[in-house]
Amino acid sequence: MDDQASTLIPRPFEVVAKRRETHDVTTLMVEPSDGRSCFGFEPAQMGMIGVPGVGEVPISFSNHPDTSRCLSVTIRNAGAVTAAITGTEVGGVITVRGPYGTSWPIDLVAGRDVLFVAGGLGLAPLRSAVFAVAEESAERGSVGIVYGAKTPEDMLFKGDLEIWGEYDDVDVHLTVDAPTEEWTGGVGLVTALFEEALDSVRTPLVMMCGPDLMMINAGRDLVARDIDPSDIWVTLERNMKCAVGLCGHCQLGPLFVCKDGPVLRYDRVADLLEMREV
Amino acid sequence: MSFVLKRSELDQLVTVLREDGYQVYGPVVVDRAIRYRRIDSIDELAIGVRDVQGPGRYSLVERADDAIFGHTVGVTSLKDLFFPPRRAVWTAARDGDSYRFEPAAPTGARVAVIGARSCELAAMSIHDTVLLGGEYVDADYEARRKAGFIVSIDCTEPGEVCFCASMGTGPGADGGFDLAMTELRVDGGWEYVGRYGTQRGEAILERVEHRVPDQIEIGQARSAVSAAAGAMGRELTVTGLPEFLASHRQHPSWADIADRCLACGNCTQACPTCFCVSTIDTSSLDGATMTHDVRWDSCFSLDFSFMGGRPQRASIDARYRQWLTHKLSGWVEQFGSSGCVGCGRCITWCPVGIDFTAEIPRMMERIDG
Amino acid sequence: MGKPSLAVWKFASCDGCQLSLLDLEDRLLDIAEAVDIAHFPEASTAHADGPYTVSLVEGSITTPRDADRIRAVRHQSELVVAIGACATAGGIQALRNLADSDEFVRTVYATPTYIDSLATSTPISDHIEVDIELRGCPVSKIQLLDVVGALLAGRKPDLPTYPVCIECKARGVSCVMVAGGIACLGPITQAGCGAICPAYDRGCYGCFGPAETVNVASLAWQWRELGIEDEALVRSLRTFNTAAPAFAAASAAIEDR
Repeated sequence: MDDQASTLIPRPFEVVAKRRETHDVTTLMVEPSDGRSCFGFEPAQMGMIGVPGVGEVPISFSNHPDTSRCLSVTIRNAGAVTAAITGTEVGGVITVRGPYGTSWPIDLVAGRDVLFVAGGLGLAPLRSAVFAVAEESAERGSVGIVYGAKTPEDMLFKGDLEIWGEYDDVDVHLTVDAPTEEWTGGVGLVTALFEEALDSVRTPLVMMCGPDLMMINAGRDLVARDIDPSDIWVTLERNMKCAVGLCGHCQLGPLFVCKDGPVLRYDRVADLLEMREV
Repeated sequence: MSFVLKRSELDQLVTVLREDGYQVYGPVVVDRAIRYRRIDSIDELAIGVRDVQGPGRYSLVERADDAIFGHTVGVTSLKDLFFPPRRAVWTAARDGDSYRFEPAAPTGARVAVIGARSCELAAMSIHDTVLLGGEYVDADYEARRKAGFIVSIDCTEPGEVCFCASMGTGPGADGGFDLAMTELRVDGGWEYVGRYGTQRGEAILERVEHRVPDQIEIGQARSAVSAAAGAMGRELTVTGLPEFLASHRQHPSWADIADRCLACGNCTQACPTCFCVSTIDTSSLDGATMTHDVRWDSCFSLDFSFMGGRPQRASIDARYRQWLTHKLSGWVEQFGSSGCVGCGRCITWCPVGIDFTAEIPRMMERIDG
Repeated sequence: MGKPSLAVWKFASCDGCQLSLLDLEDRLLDIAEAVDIAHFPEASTAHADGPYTVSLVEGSITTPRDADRIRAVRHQSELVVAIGACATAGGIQALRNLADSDEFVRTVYATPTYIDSLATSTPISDHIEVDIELRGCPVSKIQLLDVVGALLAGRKPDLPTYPVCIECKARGVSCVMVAGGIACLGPITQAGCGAICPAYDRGCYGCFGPAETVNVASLAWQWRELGIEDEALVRSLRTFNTAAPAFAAASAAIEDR
């Protein structure tokens, strides 16, 4: 069996820790249980995560990219496969194959301000990039993080958001659609926070992940604020059965989201995202 | 380098291939149509039969002669043999708390096909690019391809829905075969004027009685094929087509086609290049073993684009547009060639006879006019 | 953890779907190993009281008593799987929905007062929440087996909603409509049967009910091209799945033409 073929065969990974992020989102930390070492990945790259006999789904790894021992996946319970994965207890085994796809353009960060824009579960594929940029990159400029969720309870990685906000030159801007009484952040769409966020980050490199509609609106808004479309990067989600360009499901126009993406430059996908049912 | 076989010698070729362990397939009349089926002798082939194809129409008629290959492509294609509708990718067994995975054993079957058409070879070459040309390969397809043996037959009588000449994929085969032949009527009998494609082909033919053709025979074969190029039932102007489709995703014609389109997926399943698959997971009732299979899928199914609780392409027009735009436009960007080989299967086997070689000029006129 | 339990219930039906379960033969033994078969009148008189992990429900609701009984089944069952055209669409007996059922009763029965039936035959899902529907008249035993396996594994069962055509092509069957001019409901009928009828050179008669997409106007146009009257299409749509919403709407639309 050659290496290429072998990467399409899943590997068993043991769940070593589990954290409930919200009422329907869980993060699993997993380690290989087949005696082989864990693979590395670049921020935003995906794995096909599964349970044998149930199925596989594509999920971007959400842990610090330098962690060599284990991987984290942050998953919303939205169907049989995700229920089987998130229902696996510590000590249980799930399967992982990967890493697949493109990654955030971390190499473009040097000397630049960076704006991260996330909606809902979209913070998960950005988390590893925030670690890599905010914590690791000595050459970066200022960093803004704009994150929107439905309610305060739906926000992911609350502990991380607090820590990130304490870093030098990192500002965290939060907004929700439906605030609670204790909520002190913004209310409304992420776009409502762009003005304040762009006060501290100038002509930033933008990395954005969220539902299609959010990215369409946020993309339009950023371009209207004179951000160059070629400075905006998005990560997309599509139906995927193989994650390696063989099943055909994830196509968006001429793009295979699995191998041309999931991270794509906004100017390459804006028209396709704007169009109905592409 | 070329050869000529008599009909009896063609049968010897089948015998030699079978002796070498090949399962030999050829075009056979099954029920109401020609399709690939396993044969032991050329007598089982669709002899003396002509197919009449049109949009949503297919029938067989008797020929005046007893040509073996006096018909065009059947309902199935090489895809059915080398990229079968369902196959295993891996199996797993519970191993304590974990699992042990076994990649599906590559098929031991060695398939030889007699009577593949040039458009089908082109389709297979496209599959080679899609399934073997990238970073990740389809191991099952690779095994079947490596084990396969192809004897192609040049087309001398194209059908009503054929447009391989427009797509640059026929009617004669340029490559992708082990042996290629032209069926010629000579002095009341039949001759198969052939050429070698591979050393493997040469080695097989060495064991079959044959002779070397003269220049006249080679010339006759060539002119029969070049005459066929001018006798296509359909044509498609491909210059500028990828750009046109990519820039007309909002064209009103999509909705008009959708009025007729059944979204049944026949076009995608009959197409020799459509490669989309879905995955199927199963488990034994005791939970001890699991399988992971792939099965042909269609971009016309709603589940195909299902994400976030709904299909991305819910309307029929979006699904038809996806299929055609991918086939004729996106494919070029993805794989460096059109995804269409001009075989006409999608026209014939569309139950309501939607014919994109007619729809596309209409779309273009609607813009111009 | 004890074995999951399985109950099989019969409502207005011919028992054919229960027979599909019995048709699994040796695989039925595997099922019996994996689950406790607590109630299955077609197979055994033994009965164990609920609650049940899974209830397979055959048949439609045609009497007030059955309307009560199906609610009791729901209360006792973690998962309810409706099996067959009767349970998922009201079955062939739903033809009464288009007619005066009282008149039928008066005509057929000597003493109509003994008959206590509803004016309509309705699918299980009209009365209770149904977790999974298995189409067909009868159901496919392969799908039936997959559903049991899927429920045990926590998997979504493999029940494609695309049309029969996909299965026809996978079998390499030449289209009976294109090559034979035969009226076929395959393009608007849900897959799952394995394209049995076209494989025997017959048109699909729609026993798996409406596919996910039903473009009946286009199919009617093509049938007319083949010389088949609209009336025949209306009759075809009004058989096993006459009350399935997409078929009911389609037959009504053609009749209104």
